[in-house]
Amino acid sequence: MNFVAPVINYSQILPILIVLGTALLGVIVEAFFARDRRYQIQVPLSIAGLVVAFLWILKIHATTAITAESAVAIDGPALVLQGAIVILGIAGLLLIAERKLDSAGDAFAAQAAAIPGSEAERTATLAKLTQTEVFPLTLFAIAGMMLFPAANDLVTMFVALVYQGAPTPVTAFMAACTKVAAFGAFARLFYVGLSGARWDWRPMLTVIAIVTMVLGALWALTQTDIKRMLAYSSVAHSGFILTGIVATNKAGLSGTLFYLVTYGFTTIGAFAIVTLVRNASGEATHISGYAGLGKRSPWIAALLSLFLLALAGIPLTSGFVAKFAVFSAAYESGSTLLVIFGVLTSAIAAFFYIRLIVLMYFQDPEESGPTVAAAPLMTTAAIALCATVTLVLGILPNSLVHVIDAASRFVF
Amino acid sequence: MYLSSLLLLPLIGSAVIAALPAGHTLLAKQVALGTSVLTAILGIAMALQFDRGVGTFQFVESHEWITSFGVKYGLGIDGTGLVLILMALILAPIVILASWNEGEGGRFSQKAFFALLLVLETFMVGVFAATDVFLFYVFFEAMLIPVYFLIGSFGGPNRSYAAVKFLLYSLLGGLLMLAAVIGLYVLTKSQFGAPTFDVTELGALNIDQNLQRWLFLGFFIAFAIKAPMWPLHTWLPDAASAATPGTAILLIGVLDKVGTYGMIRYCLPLFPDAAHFFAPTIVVLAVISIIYGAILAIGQKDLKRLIAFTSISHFGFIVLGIFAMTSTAGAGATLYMFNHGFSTAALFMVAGWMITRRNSSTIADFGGLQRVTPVMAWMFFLAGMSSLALPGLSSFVSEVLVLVGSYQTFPVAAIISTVAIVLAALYILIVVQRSLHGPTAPGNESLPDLTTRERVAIAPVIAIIIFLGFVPSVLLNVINPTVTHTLTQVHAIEPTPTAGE
Repeated sequence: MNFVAPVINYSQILPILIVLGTALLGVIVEAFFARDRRYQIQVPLSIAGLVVAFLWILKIHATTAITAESAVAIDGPALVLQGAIVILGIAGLLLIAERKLDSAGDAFAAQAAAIPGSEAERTATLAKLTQTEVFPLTLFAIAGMMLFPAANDLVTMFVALVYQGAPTPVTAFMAACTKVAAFGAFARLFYVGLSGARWDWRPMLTVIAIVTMVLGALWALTQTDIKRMLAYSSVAHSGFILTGIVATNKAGLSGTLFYLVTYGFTTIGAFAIVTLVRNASGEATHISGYAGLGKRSPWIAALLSLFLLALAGIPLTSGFVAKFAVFSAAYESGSTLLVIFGVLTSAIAAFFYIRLIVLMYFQDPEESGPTVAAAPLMTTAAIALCATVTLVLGILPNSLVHVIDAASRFVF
Repeated sequence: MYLSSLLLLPLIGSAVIAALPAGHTLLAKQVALGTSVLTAILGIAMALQFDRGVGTFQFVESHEWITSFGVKYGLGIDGTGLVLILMALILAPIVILASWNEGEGGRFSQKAFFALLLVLETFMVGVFAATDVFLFYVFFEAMLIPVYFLIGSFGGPNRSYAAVKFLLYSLLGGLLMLAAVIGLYVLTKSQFGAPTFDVTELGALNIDQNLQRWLFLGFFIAFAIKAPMWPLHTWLPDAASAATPGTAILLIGVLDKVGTYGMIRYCLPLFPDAAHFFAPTIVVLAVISIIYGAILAIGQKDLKRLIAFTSISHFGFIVLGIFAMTSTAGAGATLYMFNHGFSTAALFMVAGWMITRRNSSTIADFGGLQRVTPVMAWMFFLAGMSSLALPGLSSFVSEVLVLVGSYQTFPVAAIISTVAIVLAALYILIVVQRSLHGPTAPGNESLPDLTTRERVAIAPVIAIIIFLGFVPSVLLNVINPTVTHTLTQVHAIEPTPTAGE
């Protein structure tokens, strides 16, 4: 029996390997360093790993290849999505690493085995026994997500899914990165895997897109918890993204990629701000807590408004360009119905995003309302990054559009 | 670079105001006034260099913007654009001066009020100067944000509700227009080989009849909400009565003109067949707006709502003039837009001063102002006369042009609309009689007359109203070539005047 070693073009998958390597280094750090020093090492290490991975992606972009015995396809779209996931991962890590918000340390259980609220947990918290394995685990998840949109066969996809099962602790990170990864994989499946049968799938996907948009928008409309509102509205956004995929043309693919990247940043930005609005028991997620925020913390309210306007697709934000890109692609492919439903659900979506802005600016704060924590350094950095991307890609989207246009060709 | 400078200048002023430390309210106001006066002077300088013989775009600027969508940063103005930009630029400093203290009692600082006004000025210039449909759409939508905050943060008791209603109506209209803009984009991509949003190129599109009607509707509904036309007008009285007088002037005087301007700039030249197809229906809606607005104005008890309803009637005249598709009516409609801006400004300014003095906007609370505050009363009277189109004042010329011009193509509509002249006399004279004449209402005995600041603010408005009443040709010479150009694009056949008229 002849066993041929698989041919792997390592340069192509190096970004994934860098992230995985950093994750392993992180595990080693966990094993060999004293508990109180791990945090200081883990944070810079993880971020450095991601930055290096991103630089490598920049270096190899515009190359296309199928490697690892046809199991992984590194092409334009995959690189764009990997780049986006890495940058979003940096923003997500900054949020995860933030320890200045909760007096108890961070958003995670001090000891995984301790029962929440129990005596054991309190002791652990008081002893500042916070765990740092979340950093390597996050990196594993990021690596998995980077693999996902590039997964070219089912086994690889399964592996990627398993990786994704690793803890992805912050909703923001989940919502933004996993969506990029999953839709990237879905686009590949639809454009490459089912390329021959595309036209058979279209009617069904059109219906799914419409149902997703409408239900997501209606669900989000009834929410009174900001996290749930953002989560359900992300269902509506999935519908918009599907609009781009269903278009099955080059404009649709590049529109989908643009949407994924910009949506990721906007969502992380919005969630980052949610972590700052707190009351005695932690984050104040009921939307009534946001009443009067514009008066108490004008900057935070202004930034959250920016993210909400981007989610609503108002011009001069990245959300508008993204929406225009996917809707025009769908119209071009003849799906007028999708465009009409897209526009109508956008109106519904605009209503619930703007309702929050109304609360923040036009209503008086509640008596015992939550306060806004002074944004610590790392959260500030994450928010600033997201806000910059949201504005710049809204006013001058050329740069990213060019990269994506050039990249919008899956390897077949 | 005139147009870009006009866009940039107010934006810089607004940034300066935003950067001022808290508490420097007076300085913020001075910066706002200074910036807007400077911008107005620059606008007038541009107007003096405008070539009146040309019906196409002048002062053209064009730069690539979003290349893969074919979007350009394209600016340029024809006669219509020039007239409307001038109106906006002249009204801005007047509004700032007139609403010197309106930011008080708002939810946010007065600084924010004036910074928002200047941002709005930038968008107002942009929306009238854009020659790229995408850019126009961006300004059209972005404009909503400052107005929304101006109404919602600084208005009266109902401000939050009014601001949201305004925003939702506008957003819905805007999204319908977005669908039509996307339609145009895809058409240019397939017919020209590369996408473009340049209005001067879009005229060459060959759009089949059915699609043309849908695209027309996408644009038209957005503009009809803005304009506001019956039955899409219900947001306006709420917004106008909740907003401060200054915001209301910009909202009704300038922003709503974006609707009628859009009909001239986009609905007619881009979809000529659809325009002809829908013209009779739209004329009927316009006539309903004219009569309905006038009748409801008669019944209003609130001063600001009254002015809002008179505007619905006036916008009906403008739309009638546009869709009559004759050169007389078209010129009349454009002139009407300009004149209405100033007569509404005068009405809202004086009404605003009356309301702050009396601390009530109910008409019944006024009475006998003629004796107590003669200057204010005279100004209100003059503004009212301009609103009812008294001969010798500017609105008269435009109203006559619209009626005469639309009689050529829609005689019945024109005849019914003349009824509104009588109704206008009723709604204005009733409010004039109730508030200015008769016995002095209790509580009004010691109201102060107009201050120097207020007199300086209203003087130019009244001067323009009287001047254009006698010399409308100053503007008509600019407007006429553009109207002719637009009408050739719609393939309108000018009816030959009947002999003996």
